[in-house]
Amino acid sequence: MTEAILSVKDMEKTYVGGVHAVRGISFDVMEGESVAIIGSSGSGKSTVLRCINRLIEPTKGVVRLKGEQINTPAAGINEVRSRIGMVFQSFELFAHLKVLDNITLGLIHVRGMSREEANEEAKKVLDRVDMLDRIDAYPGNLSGGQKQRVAIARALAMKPEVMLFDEPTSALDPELIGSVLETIRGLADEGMTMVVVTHEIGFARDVADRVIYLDEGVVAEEGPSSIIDDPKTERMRRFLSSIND
Amino acid sequence: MSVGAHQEQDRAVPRRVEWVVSLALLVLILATSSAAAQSYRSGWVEVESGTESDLLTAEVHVDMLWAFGTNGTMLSSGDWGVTWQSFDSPASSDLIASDSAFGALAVAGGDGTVLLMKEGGGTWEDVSIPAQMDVSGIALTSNGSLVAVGPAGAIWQYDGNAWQDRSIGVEHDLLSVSFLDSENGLISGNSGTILASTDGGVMWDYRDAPGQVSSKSIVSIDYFSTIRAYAITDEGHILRSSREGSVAVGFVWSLVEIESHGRSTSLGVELNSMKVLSTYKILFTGPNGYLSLSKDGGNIVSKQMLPVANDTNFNGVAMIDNFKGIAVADGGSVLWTDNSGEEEAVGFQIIDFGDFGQFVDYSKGMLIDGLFATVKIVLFGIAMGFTIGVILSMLKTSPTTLKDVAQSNRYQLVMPFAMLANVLSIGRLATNIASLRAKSAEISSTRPINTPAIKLFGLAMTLAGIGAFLLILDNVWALNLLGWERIYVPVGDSGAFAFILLGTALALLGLTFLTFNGEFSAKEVPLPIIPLIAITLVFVAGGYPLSGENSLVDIINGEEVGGLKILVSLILLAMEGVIFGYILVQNVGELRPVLYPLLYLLVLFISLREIGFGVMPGIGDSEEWVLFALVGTAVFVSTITKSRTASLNLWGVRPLNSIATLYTDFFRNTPLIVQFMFIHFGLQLGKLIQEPGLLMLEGQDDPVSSFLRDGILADRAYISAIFALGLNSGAYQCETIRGAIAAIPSGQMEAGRSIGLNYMQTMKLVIMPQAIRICIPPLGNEMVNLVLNSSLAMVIGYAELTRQGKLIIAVTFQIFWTWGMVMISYFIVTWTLALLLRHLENKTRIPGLGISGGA
Repeated sequence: MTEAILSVKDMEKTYVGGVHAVRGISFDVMEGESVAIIGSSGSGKSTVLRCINRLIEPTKGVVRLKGEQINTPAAGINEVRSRIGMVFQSFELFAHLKVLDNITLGLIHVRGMSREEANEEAKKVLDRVDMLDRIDAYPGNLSGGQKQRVAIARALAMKPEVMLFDEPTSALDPELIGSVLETIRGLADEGMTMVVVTHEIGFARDVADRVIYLDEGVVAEEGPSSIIDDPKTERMRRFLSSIND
Repeated sequence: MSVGAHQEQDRAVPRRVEWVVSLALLVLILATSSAAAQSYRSGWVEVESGTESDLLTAEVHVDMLWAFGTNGTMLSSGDWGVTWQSFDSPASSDLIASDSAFGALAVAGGDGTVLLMKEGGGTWEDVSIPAQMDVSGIALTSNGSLVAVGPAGAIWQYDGNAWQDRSIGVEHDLLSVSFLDSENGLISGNSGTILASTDGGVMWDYRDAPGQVSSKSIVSIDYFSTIRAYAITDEGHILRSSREGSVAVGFVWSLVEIESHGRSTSLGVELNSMKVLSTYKILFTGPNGYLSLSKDGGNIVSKQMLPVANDTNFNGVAMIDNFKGIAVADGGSVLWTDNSGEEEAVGFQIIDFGDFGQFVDYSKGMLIDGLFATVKIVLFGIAMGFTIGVILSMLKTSPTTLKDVAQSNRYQLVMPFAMLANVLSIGRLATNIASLRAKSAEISSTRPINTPAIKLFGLAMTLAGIGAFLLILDNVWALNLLGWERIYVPVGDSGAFAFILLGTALALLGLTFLTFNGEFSAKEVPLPIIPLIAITLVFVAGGYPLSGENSLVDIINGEEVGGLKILVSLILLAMEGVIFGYILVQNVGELRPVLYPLLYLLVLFISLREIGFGVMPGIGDSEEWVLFALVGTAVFVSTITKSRTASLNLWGVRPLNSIATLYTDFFRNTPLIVQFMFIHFGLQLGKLIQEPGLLMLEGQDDPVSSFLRDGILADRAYISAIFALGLNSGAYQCETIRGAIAAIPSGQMEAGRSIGLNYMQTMKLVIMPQAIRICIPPLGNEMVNLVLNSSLAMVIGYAELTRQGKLIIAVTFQIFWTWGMVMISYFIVTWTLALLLRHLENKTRIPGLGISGGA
């Protein structure tokens, strides 16, 4: 926990049409740290996450991965993205590919592995998320929880330096959330650096080393996970109580 | 599981319908009993000649038929060839040549033998040539005078008393001689020799045979009439000479392109002799059982069925009239006919098109030919349309904007060329892509946006654009068009139009680049400026000065302008302004739609002009109308809109998208039938591709080349039809595929990019495989449409199904039956295609993608 793997400084994003979604946000993520970003909808959580791997181009600010600025044309964006794993709210598994091929696609076409190597690697990560028995299934035949675990495996297979989770459980039925959270918790315990945008306050409290509360595009409050139980600002207190209701 | 089973059940219903229809068709086809036996009977009948000698020539004399052969064989028949008597011959040599004219009969052969039977004589007179040369051709020039030809250029003339040597030093063997009358005669021989005489065979001159036969033997020549002569070579060429103006027959010879033999100049068989029956009707004989008839001067030659062995060597024909006559052959064979040897159909005499069975029998072959022709263009059309569709849809969805273009540096610009050079391994240009990438990255990090370079580039583009515009204007004025007539400039001078388009686009792009201020943001442009620029352009382009004579002020102050008319006109103009302004405000920010309101406006003008409403005196159908409407627009827009500025985001223009849009707009907004005619007759695309294509494949005999040559390049209409169908369908398929791409959740692209795939990889590996699956049903529609649209190829003369239908009707007059059968043929093709696509859809179905449920 000495070196900042990911560092965001003064990030701003104004969408075409003038919506100022992110208004100057800075934070660092240390190696092995898991950071939870919470906030009401429209507070800019997902935008921040997407700006980190430049699925959305930040308007201003600097994003560094291991000290190297990544939001310039000079940074090979595809190479950078392959070092940052991303898990989406709606899974976004490749619907036309079987589970195994979903994982190997990146390994073969980005990492340049042979099919055999990639299959070997994919089976390892699928084992980690407990999905090894469904490698020949199509995503359409999986439950939501299973899909999300495959999506995690897909990101994991690329051996990312940091993983971004964009509300990984929001699209899941309540009884399926547990398995996914369990998987993420396991990764955190193994020392994976991660940034999780989540509505699961309990999960944030248990797993996150640090919690960032966003409101209207700025960091309203930041601190160890204990701030969830003891918020300093009125805004965060109101947000937490609205969630718990 | 239960859901799956349910789906299967749903699908089983339409399946069963398909089975029923397929089985019904099969049963119908298989259950059809073999059609009533139809056969053809030869038009020739073999008759008993009573000799085994080879018969070499035959002739009609008075009311007798004569046949002559080896060792002086002579046969005669008094009943038009049915029975034959041997005639006690005064000759013992082979009798090779004969002629019957002026009431006399002459026969000649080996050792100078010449026998003559004068009119009314009834007996043979021996007039053999003293020189004893072998006579190969003889012709009567009157009742008692003769010309004979033989080997090594021998020409002898007999004037009734004695033979004279008339040789002119020809080295080649002479083979045949023919006289039209007492004066005019022709001789033919080896090495393409043709000689002519106009004085009864005393003097002979050379005539030119076509170059192709200069080494062939012209075995027979016939000076048939004052307008026509024919000749044949032993290799099956037919030569024809006609009178051309005052130039007599015999001077100009041409080779007949024999239509029935693929426009070849040769029948492809050896010929021995011919008999010209009329100006167009000719019988040909040859070895290996060859007898054939042409009724149109050799264009269509049909070989005849014969009742004798296939190796019979036919030497000559003698005809009593146009129909009755005999053919003589080796081994004493004599065949008799009373209909010039034409085959007779046995089983039915005349096709009764009112009988459905006979009608089908006649038309099925043509329909099947048409069906194959249709399938041929459809297959290539689909392949071409799909390829174009995929490429265009990728271009249309490509996110590359002008901003990206402006941000690229010189190394990135070089990159594609370097990659191409590497692929083609052009040594000097091939270079290390990795080092290029590194240099490009270095530049990007030190100077991500090179403002001076962008401005310089912009300046260059502006100047080039304005230059191109001004340079070409003269060409447009040279077209002498007035006012709105100028919408036809793209046709009048396509080059000039392209330059104007290019110039405008370059100037616009250049100005955008030139005014680059370091930020790729939308520009706020004061709205009135847009119509003002347009007005200025119209004035400059229209050649009107901004002040002085013929200027705006001058026009408004026109003499006969009445108050009410002005009022009405102004109201109308304001209305136009509202429409134009509305469209402009709606569409500003994109380059392309600005063109459309202009077109709408022009349509409005035309309608106004035709109605005659609101036409101001002194203002004709010229630029002024545009001008006034633009003024109205300017007034309207600047007073009504709140912001008084338009947000013009030229940096957001996607160049690849614009190119693809231009293409699809063009092909989707013009009728396919016009595209067919424009491509085939206007552009002559078929010809443009056929000629260099054939040249390129010349002399290559591998299967691919011969397929291309005979299968595709042979027919211009075929090439044009493929292109018209493919180009048109590509535009529609592009929209279909684009729709499917848009239907893929944007998260799929994000997911692909987030694991490090680049844009093209994600398109290829993630988006397209799903999009194509989704758009199989609408794409199937598109392909079925293409099959049905292929019927329009009939307008360019391509012999597809619909055209065959028209041809069938032209012969049979059975309209209902014909179009009904054409419809069934189309149904079979499209239905099969639809089944295949349905099968493909089921095969490629993936759980969770697209509509699940019924097929």
